[in-house]
Amino acid sequence: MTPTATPDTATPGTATSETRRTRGPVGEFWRRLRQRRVALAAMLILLAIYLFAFAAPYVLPYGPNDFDYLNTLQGPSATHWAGTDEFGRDIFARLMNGAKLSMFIGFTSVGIGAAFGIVAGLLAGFYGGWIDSITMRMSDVLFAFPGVLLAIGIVAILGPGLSNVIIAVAIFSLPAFARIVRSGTLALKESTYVEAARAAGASDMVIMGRHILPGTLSAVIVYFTMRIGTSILTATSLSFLGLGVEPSIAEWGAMLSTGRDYMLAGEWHLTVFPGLAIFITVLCFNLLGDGLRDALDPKLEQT
Amino acid sequence: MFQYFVRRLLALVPVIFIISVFVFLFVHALPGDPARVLAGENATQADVEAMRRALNLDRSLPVQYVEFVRNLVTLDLGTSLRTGEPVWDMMMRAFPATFWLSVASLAWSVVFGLIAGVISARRRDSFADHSAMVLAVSGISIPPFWLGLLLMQVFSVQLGWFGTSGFDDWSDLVLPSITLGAGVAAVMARFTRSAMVDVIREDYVRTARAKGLRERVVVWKHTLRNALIPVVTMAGLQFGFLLGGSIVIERVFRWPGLGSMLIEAINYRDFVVVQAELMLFSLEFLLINLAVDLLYGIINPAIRYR
Repeated sequence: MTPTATPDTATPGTATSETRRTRGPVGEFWRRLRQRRVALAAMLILLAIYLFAFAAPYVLPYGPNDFDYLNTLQGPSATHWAGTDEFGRDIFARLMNGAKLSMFIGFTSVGIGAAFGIVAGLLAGFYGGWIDSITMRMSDVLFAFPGVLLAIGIVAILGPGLSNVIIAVAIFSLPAFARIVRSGTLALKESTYVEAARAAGASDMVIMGRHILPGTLSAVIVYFTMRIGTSILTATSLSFLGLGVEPSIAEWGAMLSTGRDYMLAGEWHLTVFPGLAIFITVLCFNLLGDGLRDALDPKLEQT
Repeated sequence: MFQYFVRRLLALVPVIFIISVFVFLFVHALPGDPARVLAGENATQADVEAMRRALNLDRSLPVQYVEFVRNLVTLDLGTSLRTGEPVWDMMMRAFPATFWLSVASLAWSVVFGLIAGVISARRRDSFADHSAMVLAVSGISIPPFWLGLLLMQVFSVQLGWFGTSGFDDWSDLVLPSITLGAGVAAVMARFTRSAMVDVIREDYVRTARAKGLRERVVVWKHTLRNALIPVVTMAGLQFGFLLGGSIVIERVFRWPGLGSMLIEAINYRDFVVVQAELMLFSLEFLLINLAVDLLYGIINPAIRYR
């Protein structure tokens, strides 16, 4: 686990040591990401989707919950780009609402999982001993369940609903972050600069927060991105199973679930578009994650 | 080998213990009084008390846990709160559908993934390689339930080749197993490719070529055989993930398996069934992982002595 901005990883001759230093970790990150065209394209597509999703309420003539009983189950047309559903609601407007929801679910659930995982991984790697044993045994157990099953089990206890889906997805993201940060911490704990900080009288909190954590961040960023795709897939799966958000909410998985019956009756557009939306979003997050991994942390490829 | 086997088996004990505690506590984690929740909304106080006694909820937690484990070991999983049928009988009825679905999915996806991975590694950066890897990353990203619906739309609704629900005929296996296996095939292709690329650089591969062996022998015998070690591990792990994935796919195809049974039980708040299913799924997953570990030990003798 190398820190993000180690000078020796930059190509010699592309920049002087002065400019490299002023660029900082963020600039370095951006420089390497720019070389990955597929990842960059994926990021731009995601940005476009989300920008449009947030602009949609002001741009589109229909809201996601506007009923129109005179125009139910219409195919795609110039007025309704993705057609209408069984209540005459505009499917495109619902898709855009679903995009916002998916982003909200993806980022908050992985964010919560990452926050707890990072703290657990730092403490486990830094202090070792029983803290380490307990953290790692717990993550073994969480790893012992396939992700969807774990999420289903959690929702079975907490009941369906948006916040419970977020909790379920967060819990199953947690152990992987704990492991990544723990292994980074173990490696960095022995480094000379941590030793120096300790000799200078820095407290444990300062050492962990300012000297070790930044060194593990590149791996965390890569994993965070890859995880968002998986989280969106899991959350939409839960909704599809009827264990996620309320079926009436404009969410991709829920739309697919109600669309199934209409599909069997020949109305293909109710299922094709929501699925396509999930597919494109998850694909872009995975491609972006692949690109970030290649750019930032080649070692992750083996896991 | 025997020592290794025993060691792996012993390592499983604490994990099974923790999982059994979690699954046991599941009923207690339900919000409110579990006996009242389980007895249903219209239950009288007497019904609730009867439910409490029937599920041993009136005893202390440790006693309840011991009872829970004893019931598990003797395969007495209780009776469904909804139908009153023994849970074990329900599971045995649903098991074959899930079993055949998993086996069919794993079989085609591993073979297909292996071949695609080998071809990709063999012709790196060729058109075939790029298309296979684009397909693979799509296979990982595509929502499985959507793929199932698309296949159903084309092959069942429009072409009328297959049914849309249930498991009445072997041909009913085709669409669900393609759907469930797609993600596995994608992972296998990516994984085989990277394992092959690592091995292809080894000295013994160069030696095999230098000996004048035909390319086909070099690739399929010398390279693939060594690359197979990590690949087998991956295939075994995928089997576990098929269990999770099958829950969703069963829902799409209205498949009469364990996954549909679990979702139905959750919807009807039939928590005795949910509890038994969660335990079964976790045990299955653990046993598959154990089998993979053992297989790994057989393929690669070095790992036994770690």
